[in-house]
Amino acid sequence: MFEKDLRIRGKHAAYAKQLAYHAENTRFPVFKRIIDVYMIGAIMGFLNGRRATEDTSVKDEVSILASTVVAERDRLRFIYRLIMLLDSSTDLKIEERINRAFRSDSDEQAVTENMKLFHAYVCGGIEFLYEKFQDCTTNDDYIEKMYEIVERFKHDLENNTYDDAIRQIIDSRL
Amino acid sequence: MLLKSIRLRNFRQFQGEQTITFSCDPERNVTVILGDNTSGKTTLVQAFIWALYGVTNFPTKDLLNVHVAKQMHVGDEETVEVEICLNHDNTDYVIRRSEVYVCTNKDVRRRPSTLPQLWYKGEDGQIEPIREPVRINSTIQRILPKELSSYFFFDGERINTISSQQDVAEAVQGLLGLTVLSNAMAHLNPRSTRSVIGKLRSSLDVNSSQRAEQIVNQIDQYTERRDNITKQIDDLKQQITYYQEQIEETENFLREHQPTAALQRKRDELERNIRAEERALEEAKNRFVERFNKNAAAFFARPMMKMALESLKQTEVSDKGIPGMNAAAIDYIISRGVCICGEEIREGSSHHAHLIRERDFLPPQSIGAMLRTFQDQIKLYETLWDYDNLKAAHSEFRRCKDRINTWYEELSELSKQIKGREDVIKHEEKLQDYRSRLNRLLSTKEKLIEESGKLANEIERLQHHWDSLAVVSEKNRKIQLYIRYAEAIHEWIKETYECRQQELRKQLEERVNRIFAQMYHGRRKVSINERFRVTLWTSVDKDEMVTDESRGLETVKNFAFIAGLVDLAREKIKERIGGLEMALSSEPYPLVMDAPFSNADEKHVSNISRVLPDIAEQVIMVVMAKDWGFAEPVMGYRVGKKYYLDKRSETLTYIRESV
Repeated sequence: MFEKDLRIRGKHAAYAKQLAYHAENTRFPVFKRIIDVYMIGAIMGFLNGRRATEDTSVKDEVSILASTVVAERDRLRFIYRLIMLLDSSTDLKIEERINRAFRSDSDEQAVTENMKLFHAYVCGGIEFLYEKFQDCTTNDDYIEKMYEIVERFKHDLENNTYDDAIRQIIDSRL
Repeated sequence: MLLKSIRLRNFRQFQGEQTITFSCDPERNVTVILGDNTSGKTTLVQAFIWALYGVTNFPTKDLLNVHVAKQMHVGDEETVEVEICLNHDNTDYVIRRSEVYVCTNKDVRRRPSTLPQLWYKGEDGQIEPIREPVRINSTIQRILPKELSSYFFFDGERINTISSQQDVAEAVQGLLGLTVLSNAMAHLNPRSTRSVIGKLRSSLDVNSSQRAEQIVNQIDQYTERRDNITKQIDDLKQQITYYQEQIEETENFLREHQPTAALQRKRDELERNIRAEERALEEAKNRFVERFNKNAAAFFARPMMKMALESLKQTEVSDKGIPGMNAAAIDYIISRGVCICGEEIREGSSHHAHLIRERDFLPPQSIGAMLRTFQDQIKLYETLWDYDNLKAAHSEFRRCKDRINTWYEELSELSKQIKGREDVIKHEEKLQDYRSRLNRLLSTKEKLIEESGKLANEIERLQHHWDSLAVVSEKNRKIQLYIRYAEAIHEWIKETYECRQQELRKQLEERVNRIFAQMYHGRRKVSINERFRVTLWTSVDKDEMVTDESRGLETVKNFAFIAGLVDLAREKIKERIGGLEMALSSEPYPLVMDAPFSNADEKHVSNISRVLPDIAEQVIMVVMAKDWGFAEPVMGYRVGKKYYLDKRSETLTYIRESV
């Protein structure tokens, strides 16, 4: 698991190239590497309940080399286990999810199944991210969008939605 | 020369002071002094020679009168003296020679002889002495050359003393006035280094001409370079004027457009600031992206981590593993192939799969341990996200952005103001450019002026040097010209001299032959060679041959020669030389003769006596009374003065004038 090249194909490959710094990328590099898009994509896909299957209507492909994969293996596994633990798209009980997350590594069949799920979240997340930046045209737009994502995320994390915070600010001014 | 008088003092037999005054009358130009044998005729003629040249042909050198000497007491001094008064070249001379004799207790001794004394009467009538010994001798030599003295003081009894070997050529030439030419030739002589031409040649400076040529070349070079520089300077001056005008114009323009200039400067400053800020903005952007990316996964995974922790907290995780058993024990059992129950274990069998499953629940792979590790990982990841740094980078980006926007607004405002106005900055740049060009031109001009000055000095220095050399070379030219003149003059004189010498010789030969013919009554002829030696030729059967000469013939020959010489010398010789009338010296000469007729016969005496007073300016004859008897009928009427020698003893004679 996470010891070979990773491949993103089709539409999602095209999106990933636009989000990360890439030789073919002509837009703002929100992420420094494709693997960052891959990891954040997985997270965003899960958090936003977005799974997607590979869409090869667009003929594109991008690879993440095994050396890069291995270097980021800990992070990748961590995110993988989180998703395997938390994904409730199936009727698995928590114990079973724990086993899926932590005890199925040597079960090839299970791993293949799990990676399918993981990849679906990655693709969903890439779509989500792409949509977020879809309207950005200038550097400013990108920077502000990135900052907004962070801010909004931070507020949500602190049990305080970003919209709540804005409302609070508006209220205090009234 | 004419002899005026002779005064003798204690000279041999002429005791005391005795004087003879000679006739200087042109008509009665003969002075006769009669004397018998041993009366002192020869002594008298010798007195002349002694006075002039300090020599005599007496066997004894003591000249003091014997009676005088005998009467001297110890310590007494007596003087022998001969004084001749003469006129030469229209000047009166007095020549006096003395010898002092001192009486000692043994004998009477002659003091060492001294030079004669010489006086002359100057044009003002004053008697002036000539003191310098060299001048005394040379004056006497000029009056009558010693070489010819035996001809003029003619001793008929000692005819042999006129040596035919003696070189009389120079003396004859001197007498005939050629000396001035030969002196001039010697003075100019091109072969001598001490002559005029020699000295002129040695004063030539041959090196300086070459040096002068070099200097002229150098001056030409320097002048050419300097001219070049002058042209360059003129060019520069034009350029300088151009730039000065441009600068003035631009400065005026800039003064008028001062406000615009300030605006343009402000605009440029803003542009510079914006460019800098844009660089800062780019950096802020990069910094922000950097920080966003750093541990982004850890940040965005936070909700999941939170959820995971909560899920795990709510779940009781049961470790179904066999207490005390661990994964290593299972591995051992599988590897030995036999279970602890004795059942055989084979890969792929249900027993084997069961054991593997069991092993997953055994340490170290216990679920509890794994979850603990996972939870630790979550906590670690939570700390990795640095929000503050990201926020700071964002703020910086914003500030840059704001500043840039503000400046762009200002810039736009300024541009509106400046729009349509001249670009002053460009003019300012031009002004700077003009100024630096002008400075370069000015400094180049300075350098060129300096170089030109140096060259001018150098040229001047060389010019001075050349001038000094030119003086030398001018001098050289002059000297060469002088040398050519001198050589021409020398050649001219030489030709004249040779021509004249030849002519004089011929004339002399003619005269001598004419006179000889008047004196000699035979068929003989005289020839004179280049050295002025006289040879007698005798006609024998139409041939002429040299024959032995008798004493009488010798006497006549010598008379003829001296008479011819005197005759020629006396003539005023005028010669046209190179178109100039040049007077050679002409001088009358006396003939002083001692017993001239001793060896001549009656006929010859008569002949000689007839000829001599006509030829010579002055004739002084000391003659025996018997010989005078033959001569008197012929020349008696020419006698102006007559003396006779009154012989009292062998050692005492008085000179008496006969009236």
